[in-house]
Amino acid sequence: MERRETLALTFSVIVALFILGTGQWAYGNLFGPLHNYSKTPKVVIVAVQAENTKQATLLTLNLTNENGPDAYPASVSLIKIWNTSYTLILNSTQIYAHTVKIQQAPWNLNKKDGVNPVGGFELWLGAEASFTLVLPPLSPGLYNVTLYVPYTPPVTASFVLR
Amino acid sequence: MSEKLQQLDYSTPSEYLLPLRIGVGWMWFDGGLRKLVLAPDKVNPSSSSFVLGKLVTFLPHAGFFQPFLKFVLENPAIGAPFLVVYSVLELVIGSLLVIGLFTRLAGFGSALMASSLAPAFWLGSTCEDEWQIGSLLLAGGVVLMLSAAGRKFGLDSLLFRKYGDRGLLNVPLLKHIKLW
Repeated sequence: MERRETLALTFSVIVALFILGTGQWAYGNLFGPLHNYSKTPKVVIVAVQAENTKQATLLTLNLTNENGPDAYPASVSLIKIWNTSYTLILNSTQIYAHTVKIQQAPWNLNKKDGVNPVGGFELWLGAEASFTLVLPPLSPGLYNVTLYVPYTPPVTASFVLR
Repeated sequence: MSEKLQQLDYSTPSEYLLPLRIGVGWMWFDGGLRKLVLAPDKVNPSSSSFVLGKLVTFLPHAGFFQPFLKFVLENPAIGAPFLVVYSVLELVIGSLLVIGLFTRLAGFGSALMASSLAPAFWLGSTCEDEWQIGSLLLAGGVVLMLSAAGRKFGLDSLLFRKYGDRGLLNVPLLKHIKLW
């Protein structure tokens, strides 16, 4: 085999392996299962904490968004805080009104997570932030918090209020 | 018949590689042009358009690149010069490919830079955008590097006529990375 042919075949193999390998990793488009992580958001509750003050309950949700488009943020437009004997539902306007603090992760350079009265929490792909909400005083006990993002399954986490 | 076949030249005439040189070259050149010339705020760390901030969207599925990406995002003072250097490289490699100067080296650079986009390959809300762009730029760069595409309709023709074939440095490995 000529040197030129050897070179051509060697680099073709390198290019083919790179393309097939990254294609399988990114989309499963070699032998499946097919996936595309940038289609729909995947909001994740990294941590949840609650504490009672004299007049209110402070609920802190540490949230990130692991999937979905990169051009616009995911919206958490409804939050349910509940247990067997109590339910509190906040729509986007109420989420906006009850949020008193947003702590951004250090890597949110200029894609800052936020809150607004129309979409509720707005979470950029890959960004992470802690949102603190002031709620009416809750009794101590075990609670669940469920986040609703349009077109995605609800996300639930539990917390204990002492 | 067999005599006719023997007369056929199976190698691709390098004239036909000009569109590829222009295409791959302009893709890189455009990236640098947009960031450094048309909208310089994109390389300004205090601007909301600072393009490095987009790296945050690569994070969730970036695998072992994640710590590096976070480091760059958390240290914009380091990230900003890196972005400027990358953008200058885009301009330089792109223009070299278009005019056909140091084409083999520029093709090699194109292939390396295309593979550096891999952490973003999973992003593609409408189609497999980033993966397709990176893969085609890699393959295009390799073809331009191997075929010495600047020796036709390019300034490399002058260099090749004067100096012949030259490697990057006359040491093992680097001597195989050709300049033109």
